[in-house]
Amino acid sequence: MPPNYIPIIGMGAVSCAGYGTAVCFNAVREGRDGLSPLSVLDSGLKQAPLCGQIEENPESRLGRTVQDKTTALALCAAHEALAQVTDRRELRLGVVLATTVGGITRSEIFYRELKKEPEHVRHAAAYVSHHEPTATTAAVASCVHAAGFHTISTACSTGLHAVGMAKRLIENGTYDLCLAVGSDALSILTVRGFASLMLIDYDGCKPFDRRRVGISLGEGAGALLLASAGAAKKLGCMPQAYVAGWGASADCHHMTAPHPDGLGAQRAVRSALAEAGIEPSAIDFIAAHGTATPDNDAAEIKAMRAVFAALPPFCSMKRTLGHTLAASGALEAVMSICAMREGIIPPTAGYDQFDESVGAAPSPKTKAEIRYVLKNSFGFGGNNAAVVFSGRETSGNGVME
Amino acid sequence: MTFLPILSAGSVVPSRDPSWTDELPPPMKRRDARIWHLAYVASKRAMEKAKPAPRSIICGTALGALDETCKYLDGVFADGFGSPRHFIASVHNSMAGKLALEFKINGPNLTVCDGQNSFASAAAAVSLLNPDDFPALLVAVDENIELLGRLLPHLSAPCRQYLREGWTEAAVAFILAAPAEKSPPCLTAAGPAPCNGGEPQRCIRERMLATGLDAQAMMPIEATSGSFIQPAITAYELLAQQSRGDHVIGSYSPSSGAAAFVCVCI
Repeated sequence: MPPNYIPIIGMGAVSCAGYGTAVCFNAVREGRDGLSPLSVLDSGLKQAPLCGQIEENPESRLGRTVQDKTTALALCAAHEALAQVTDRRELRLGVVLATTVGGITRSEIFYRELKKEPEHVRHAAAYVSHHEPTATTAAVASCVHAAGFHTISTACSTGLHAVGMAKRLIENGTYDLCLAVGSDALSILTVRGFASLMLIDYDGCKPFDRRRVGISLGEGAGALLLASAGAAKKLGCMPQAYVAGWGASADCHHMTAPHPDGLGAQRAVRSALAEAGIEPSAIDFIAAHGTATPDNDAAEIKAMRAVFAALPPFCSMKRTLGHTLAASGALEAVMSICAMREGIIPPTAGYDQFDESVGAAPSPKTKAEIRYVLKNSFGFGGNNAAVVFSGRETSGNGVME
Repeated sequence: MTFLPILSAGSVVPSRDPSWTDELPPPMKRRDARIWHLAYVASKRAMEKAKPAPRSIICGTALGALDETCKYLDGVFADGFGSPRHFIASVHNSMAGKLALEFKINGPNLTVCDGQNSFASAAAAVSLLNPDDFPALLVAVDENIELLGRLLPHLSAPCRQYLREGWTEAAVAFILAAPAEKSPPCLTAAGPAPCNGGEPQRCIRERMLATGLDAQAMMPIEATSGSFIQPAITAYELLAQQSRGDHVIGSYSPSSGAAAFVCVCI
């Protein structure tokens, strides 16, 4: 089947760096350290880990109260992605939303109070009505007047899977436009959960660094608006980039640790490349998952070396943005596209010392010609996602501004 | 619409099948999450009836491993320490990940969470896979835990209308082949669409019309399913009973205000 590159006509982002794609990318471009001691929630940990937290309430940006922070962040990103689309008329819009926590930021508080005081159950309606992830998607779908939606949750790989599913929904004609959104807010469950797994670096993550010991959690949202070629033309929107290929796989190795040789990651990347109709050598830059766990970073580079004869330059954005879980794939995809458009390979904040076991170092460039970027995301359950983004259509007729 | 041939199906409904845990491998029986057990047995039953083995997994679940989530938070709030085992299991896609691990299915692995529409949404997502990713294992699973029974009387009226007390928990699995011309047994599905305050049954009919199905000839059933997993149970039972015809199984989620459907052709 010939490659089918789907235009991206809008993007949105919100992270610890701030609100808006440009603001977030400024931080990524400069390789800023975006982490600060956790203060937006009381995790109960003795030491507050450094996190990529968003202290400014997204409700103040939206100008109204929203059911929970995950939803509010998703709405902020979605609104920005749709900002250029002023008159959709009969074009059908779909939404694929990725989240791991959904409304649990409220329901976990309710559960804590319920454990202390059983009578608290009478407040169930107020606190748990929006617990389900589908409630987050519905809120976004309602705001953007979507014709339909899907809600997916595959841990840290979900955001990229949302992009891939949106591509397929455009290709099969279900929608003319499809918004892929990834959103997660920090929660007691996730902060304490990763702490219990001893996967958190309390001093801030150091991706690919010899001293790396774990992740730094973050919160945020990323949104990409995909369109059929016909819809993009009708709207008069020049594509900012294209979704060229999506690959998905499972490691079948362990529920939390990646396969040491990255076999599943290799499969996902090869699938994405095959769908994009390109050889590995066409990739100019890898936006790595790069979570800074000892296992992930080593396995990811090992997997990339197996796919690429010559390892392309790569970076991790986790120290700048935090690991935003389901949002990470979508949010970092937006940043990767910005990097592609600007012709830079961003620095990797937190990296300083070469690690022999990784055998490769992030390689920032202030000037690079980037035609194709590969974005990786890997999640619990051995879940792997890879998406190839292109700066132009396959036919060469579309020209990136 | 895209029709997905049904190669086989399996289910487990604990209230009707008290000895279902006998099919669990002893190590799994001792240590893993109960919802994983449900998904495993249903999938195993489906896979025993069909070759070749599936290459991908799409799981639909409304609440995921809620019991594990509660157990994890119990540890955090009561003891200041949550078990990592419970945290790992609490993640929505843990069932699909466990199935991949147990059955060595290394293709695409997605988990869809759309409330009572999860089965329909997951079935619609199957049609997005590449041809190489088939056969696909479509699993719907939801567990009913004691906490939900306590919460139900205090939830909003719409939630109480669409979730009956003591609702049946279950897991249902289908092995589906790549999209083809309609040839029973097969299924097709449409994912959630906002009802915008409209009546769910009407919303389902509009959805059917939008996707080209004859809404006059087919009466949607299970629009008020009363449980997260009932649409999948109904689809399985129709297939098991060889009920000839095209059956539209509608669903509605009060959490999202959206409706969806699966059409099973037998």
